[in-house]
Amino acid sequence: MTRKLFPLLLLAALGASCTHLASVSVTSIPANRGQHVSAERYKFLFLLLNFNNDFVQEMERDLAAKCPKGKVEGIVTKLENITYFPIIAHAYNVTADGYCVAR
Amino acid sequence: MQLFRPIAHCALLGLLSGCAFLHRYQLQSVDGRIQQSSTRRFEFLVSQTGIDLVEGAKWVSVIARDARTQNNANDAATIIALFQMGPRTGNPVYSTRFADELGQKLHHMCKNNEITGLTFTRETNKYPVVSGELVKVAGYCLSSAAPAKRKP
Amino acid sequence: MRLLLLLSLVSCASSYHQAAVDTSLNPTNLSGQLIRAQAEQFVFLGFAFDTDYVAAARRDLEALCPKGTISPLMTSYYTDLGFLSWKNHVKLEGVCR
Repeated sequence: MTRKLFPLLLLAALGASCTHLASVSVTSIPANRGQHVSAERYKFLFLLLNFNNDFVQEMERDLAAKCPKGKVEGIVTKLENITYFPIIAHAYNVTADGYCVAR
Repeated sequence: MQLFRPIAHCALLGLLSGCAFLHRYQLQSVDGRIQQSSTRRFEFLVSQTGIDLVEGAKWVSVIARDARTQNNANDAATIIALFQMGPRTGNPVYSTRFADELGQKLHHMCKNNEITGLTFTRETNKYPVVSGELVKVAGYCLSSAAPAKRKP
Repeated sequence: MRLLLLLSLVSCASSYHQAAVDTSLNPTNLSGQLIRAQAEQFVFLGFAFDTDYVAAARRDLEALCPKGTISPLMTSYYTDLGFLSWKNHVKLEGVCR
């Protein structure tokens, strides 16, 4: 029973993606927290091959576009390393969540 | 002559241990007024000694002359590695409170003046077995006399 | 006995990943109430399926200062290393005004 169960458990575990936090930063949080805005960039990596990090370029513009007449403050920025299957399938996920406040 | 081989191994390990590593770099907003002469640049760091016990055990296995000590050292390295699993930045430290004073130090560097161009770097100065785990902070104090630039 | 001594030495190690302070909203003075929030995530054998503990720390900090500005704000991220497992910590400290 254990012989059959262990590979199944291992396969199930490998099949579930693992997410780890590579870096995090939080900027000063404003008093006015009414409007929440967020931006996200994702990059899939096959065989851990990554030739550039252009996918995060100008991500701040995505946030600014959601807050054209204000300022985005209280931004939490996370870089996550996602493992779908070791070595073969990985991904980077960068998220930025903040509040849009009036200038 | 018997000592030559372990000494040579040690010397090689020492040379190959590396020196300085940069792990993280963060730059915050930069005000154009940092180019004015009234601006003062500051820099400081907080640090803690990091210890790599696995590397220490491996050194012992290199230096040891008898096979039993070598095996014991290798076993110790394996046990230590099992008990210190997790994501690593630099070497493990035994106190995480060394960076708690960062905010206070920053305030004292630039009392009652605006701070801009802050950079935070997480570095490691590596030596055999031990290392200096550093958080370096640099930035600019804008003098209260420096006027903000106005758009024409 | 030696094994126990060794285990006691190795079991309290941590890895410090990053620290940063943001002063963007009120950079010149520290008057106000110092507030802290911390969130953790226990990871066994590397199985971690989300990073929601960061949002939890931020929510806890905001709850301590519901109508004020939190600045300066310090973020720390470190991991307590352990046996086949580890615990991630995100610590947020700020001045509420």
